[in-house]
Amino acid sequence: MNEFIEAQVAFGWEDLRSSYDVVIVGGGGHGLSTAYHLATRHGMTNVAVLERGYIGSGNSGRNTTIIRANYGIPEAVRFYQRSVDLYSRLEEETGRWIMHDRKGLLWLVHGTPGTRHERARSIVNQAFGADTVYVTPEEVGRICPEVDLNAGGGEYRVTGGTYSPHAATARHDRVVWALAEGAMKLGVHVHQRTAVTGLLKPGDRVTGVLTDRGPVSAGVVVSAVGGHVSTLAAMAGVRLPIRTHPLQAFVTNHYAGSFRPIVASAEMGFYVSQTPRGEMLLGAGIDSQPSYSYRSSYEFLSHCSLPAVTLLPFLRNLTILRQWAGVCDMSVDLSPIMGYTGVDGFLVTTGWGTWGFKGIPAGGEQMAELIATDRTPELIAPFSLNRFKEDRLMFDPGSTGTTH
Amino acid sequence: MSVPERFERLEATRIVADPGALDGIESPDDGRLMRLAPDDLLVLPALARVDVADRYAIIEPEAGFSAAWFGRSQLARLQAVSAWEFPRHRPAVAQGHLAGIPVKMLFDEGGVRVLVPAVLAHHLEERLGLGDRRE
Amino acid sequence: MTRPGKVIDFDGTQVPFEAGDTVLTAVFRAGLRPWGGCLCADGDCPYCLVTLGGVSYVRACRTSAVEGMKVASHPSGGYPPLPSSTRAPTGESAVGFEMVHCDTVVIGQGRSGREAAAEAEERGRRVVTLDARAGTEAVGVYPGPEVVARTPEGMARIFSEEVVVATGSVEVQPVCPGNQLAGILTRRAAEGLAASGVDLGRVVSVGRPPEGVGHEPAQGRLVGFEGEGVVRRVVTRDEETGAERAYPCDTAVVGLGSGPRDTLARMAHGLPGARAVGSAAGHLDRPPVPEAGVVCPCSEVTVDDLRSVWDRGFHELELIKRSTLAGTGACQGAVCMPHVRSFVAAGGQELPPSFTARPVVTQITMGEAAAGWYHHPDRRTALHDEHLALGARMERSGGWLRPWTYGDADREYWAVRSGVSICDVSTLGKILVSGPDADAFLERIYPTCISPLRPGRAKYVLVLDERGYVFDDGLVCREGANRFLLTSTSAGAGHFEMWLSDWAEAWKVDVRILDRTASWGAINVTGPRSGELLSRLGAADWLPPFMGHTEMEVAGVACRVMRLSFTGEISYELHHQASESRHLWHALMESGADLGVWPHGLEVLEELRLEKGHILVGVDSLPDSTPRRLGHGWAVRMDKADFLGKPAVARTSRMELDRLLVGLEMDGGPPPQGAILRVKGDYAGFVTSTTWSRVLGRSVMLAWLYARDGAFAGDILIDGRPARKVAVPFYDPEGSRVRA
Repeated sequence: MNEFIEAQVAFGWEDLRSSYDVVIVGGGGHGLSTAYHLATRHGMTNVAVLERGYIGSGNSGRNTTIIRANYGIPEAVRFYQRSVDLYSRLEEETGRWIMHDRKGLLWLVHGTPGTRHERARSIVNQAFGADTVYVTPEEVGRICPEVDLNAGGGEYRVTGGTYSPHAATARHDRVVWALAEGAMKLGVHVHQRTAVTGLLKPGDRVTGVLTDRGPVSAGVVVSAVGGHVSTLAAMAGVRLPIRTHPLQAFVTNHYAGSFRPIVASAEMGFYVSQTPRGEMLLGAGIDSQPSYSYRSSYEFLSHCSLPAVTLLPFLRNLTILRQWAGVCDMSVDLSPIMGYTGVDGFLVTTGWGTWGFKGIPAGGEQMAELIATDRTPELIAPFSLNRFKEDRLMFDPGSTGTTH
Repeated sequence: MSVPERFERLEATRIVADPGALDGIESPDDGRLMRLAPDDLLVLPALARVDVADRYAIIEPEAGFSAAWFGRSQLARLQAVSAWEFPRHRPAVAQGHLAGIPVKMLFDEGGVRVLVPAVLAHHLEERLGLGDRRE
Repeated sequence: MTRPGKVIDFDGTQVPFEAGDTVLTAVFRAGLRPWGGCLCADGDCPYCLVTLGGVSYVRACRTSAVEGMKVASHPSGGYPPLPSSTRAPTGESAVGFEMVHCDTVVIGQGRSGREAAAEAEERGRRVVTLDARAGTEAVGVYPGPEVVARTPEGMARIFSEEVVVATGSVEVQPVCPGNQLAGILTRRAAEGLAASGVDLGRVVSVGRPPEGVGHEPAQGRLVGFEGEGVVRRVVTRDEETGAERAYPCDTAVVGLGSGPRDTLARMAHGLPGARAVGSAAGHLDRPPVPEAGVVCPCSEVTVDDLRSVWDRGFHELELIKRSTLAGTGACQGAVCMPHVRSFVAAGGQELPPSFTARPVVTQITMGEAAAGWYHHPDRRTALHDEHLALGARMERSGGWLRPWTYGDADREYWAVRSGVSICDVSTLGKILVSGPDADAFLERIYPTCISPLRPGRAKYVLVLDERGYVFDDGLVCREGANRFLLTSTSAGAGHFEMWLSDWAEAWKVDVRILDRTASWGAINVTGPRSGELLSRLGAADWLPPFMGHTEMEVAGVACRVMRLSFTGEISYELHHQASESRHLWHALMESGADLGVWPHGLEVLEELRLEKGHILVGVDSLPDSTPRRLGHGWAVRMDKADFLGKPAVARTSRMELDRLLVGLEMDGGPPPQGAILRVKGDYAGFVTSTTWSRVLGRSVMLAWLYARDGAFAGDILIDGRPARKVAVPFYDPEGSRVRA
């Protein structure tokens, strides 16, 4: 018996109704988390989540499952630390095993400018509640003896880094299912294979959605769409400062034995962690050209493997099992966009770039509070769409795992 | 010799001018013209003087490239580190990457002259395993 | 006397082999049955995986036996261990790599593959064929089309116009109780082993019988296999009477039909120039709905597990895969997928399409994947070797390797402040612009006035994007009425050149643009005695005034000499052909020896410029820094007709200023970069640049300060220590030294 077979979650699918108080478009982590928090925190259950494919079929099921709060600006550190905290309680709260594992994150640098940058990261992290410390090469060696500090004798010797003990991983699908099940148990509807094809907008206000299964009216429509969010927002007459880029990843075969922590190098352009089942999971930065393509490239395997085997030589002989791609909605300032859009009845949670998985619990919690109270919570106020008009961008150099 | 020891800094002339004016420049007897863009011409070797029918032309000595000659027998070895296929006609000019480094290539019957940005030449020497720089 | 035969070491047992044997054949020939599950001996099933040469997940059926080879089976019921080595293997030969160009790639050399190759050759195509059975294994088909293969020589990336997938068929595996016992073979596996002369003992076949293998055919439908570890009986049921019958055996052979081996075909689907032929393009012999037993051996998923998740609402093929992990192991669904699809279809849905086909189909190592790839190439200036000869520590900066320090920061610093120093600034962006519209073009590019600039004079400029944010800075030097030299930051040079060219094209202006960054070297000669040094090298006649530039020979080298200052002392930047950099460098070092000339690196340069309050774009600025936020409003002329970013600057200027880059100083040592500013205990910003000023005897910083109630407070604490907000420059605020 494989202990990783999902043995608890049970979904209760219902028929589609013609009207809900809240319709959430997109059955990924953020959409389901919003529904879950509406139901569990605010007693709002006349809610439907509409999913074009199956739940978690977008980036929620394609990401590299890292949870961390080591961001570069105070607003982001606070927001993601909230998410780190909620994630650590999610198993207890839902009674579902999401394979949450606090394994720490080692972020390596290879030169003096990078060292200064990581020291700065540790300062802003500590000031805003995220546990991140600056580490010397010797400390790197103690935290992760597998790292070749000399980087094979090349020009990427490790000069230090930061260590974030708070960082964790969790099984992405199980997060989606725990939230979906939790919401459905309280009466929320989740409808798979239900594609939104348009918005009902008789005047200035969005009053529902058109789907391939018929129109559905709604008090509030929330876009929690990934990938094609610009298309949906355009239906409401909302322009989003977002470009969509592919992001690739790969896993190796399964190996016994534990590798900790998560290791990343932005300068060399890769990060790696081990899944609960023993695969090594590797990723890098987004593809530079915007695209909606889900095609993988061989160059990605090479580009990601070379720095990985240089810094972690034991990876050299591990065999690659599978590679895949997702698409990322990159906002111009590399921070998410949450809340009002200027069009009544239409809210967004988007711009989740390469940081969407990390933000699922806090993003849903805060969006739910906004919907239930009709007030923007303080924690996400900096991330409103308005910031682009008001010239207060949330540019965060620490948002992406890699800088390439 | 068909395998060079290393790339040597190239002395050339670079002319950016009205495309029509560049069309009128003739190749020096012992040299080559390389049209990098409609308004951009590289002349090998460097010219002592040149007349360009464009009073705003930028005519500058070009020291930004290093070059090496590879004989015909070496073409397969270069092709094996190139994701694009070399042209088959001669003479031919091509631009692309070799072993991940941007190059310009001037093919003729005897082989190919490879031009590389001088600031990256050492990488290409290493990657092609030239001279004693082989690692 | 018998000659000792050739042997391999298999799990400590010496196993003899014959020429042409795979490891699997040799093991079977020796009578060993180490692998449970129905072996296909053709690279599809996950059962014969072994560890070889430190690499696990190697298929014994795809590995030729070689004298002395040491082979270990995977631990039963577990995964192979992570390699413990923390060092790069030494003495290991590099993985071979090549890029191959042809017209047609044919993957698979069965009948349809051979036909496709022959047909393409007849058309005069250059054909590359891959055949996993011959050791050339396709890894994946990628856009291009590009086929990646592993060959005995290493990795190959093959670029072609046409890809033909002729990978044939894969046999359907049995899903029933006992299907994980050893001694079960597919029909083709049994035929192959028998043809190699392997004795399979008493063979019972079920389904379509094997050819060339002595066997007893079992009647009826397969119910299961029985035995302890190794199969001993095949159990079938008579379809009509329902009676079960057990057939004793040593080897069970299963012929349940086949489906297309189409992972590569599906991967290639939709790529221009790619097609599948033969069985690979065929249809699945849909197996009966599985009733019991292991469906997915890689993830140990049983039929009961499928039922369990189905009954709890996991009704999509993908959800079943993700919840049970069926199809996500070493065989990537080759065994389980037909059965899981049948299972889903039995739930009342149409037969769902297969999982998305993803690379890789041949499991290469990360070391193999890294072959033919390189680290990002750092650029080196023409003076790289000179820096190394002086003991410089090089650091990556803006895509270049640059000297950080020559080992004695004090010496480097005081050479600038009280003597003469040189610095390699070849990395600066340097761009020539000429043309009848040059003047008007630059007026639109820059937010400051260009027209009044006289020939021989230079001006500091910001570069704004359309949103009014600063993304670069540099100098504009007018060389003539219609000709300019522009400089930009080292990191921004490539982007700036594209920016200029794009706008020139967009505006259709008549200008010529030539990037000189790589062609020219540049050495900054700085310090109170810099003029004296240059005069020794023949530059005495006329050195330009502050913010002036001229052309002259220095040490016999034609130079554009710009007098400006980033360091706070008199400075002459000597721009010259990079081929002359070494000569010029040595001339300066030798002529200035008695003046104490000594180079300085980036570390000291950052201190020097910080004392003058000069910003470093990208270090002190953020991507949304307006000139006003940077305290550089003086560099923007809103009364100009137009410039890039003007509407945005006009708009943001009407908003309340929310943050400001300020100069701070404090007693005692400098706080680190990123140190937090607090006002009355609240967050008020952070330090962007920081240093102990040797000349001033206190710490100086640039920092972002956030407005509180519309004002920028002065009572700032950093790490509990008071910091004073002061005007910049910190050093020589009147600028008398640079103008001397």
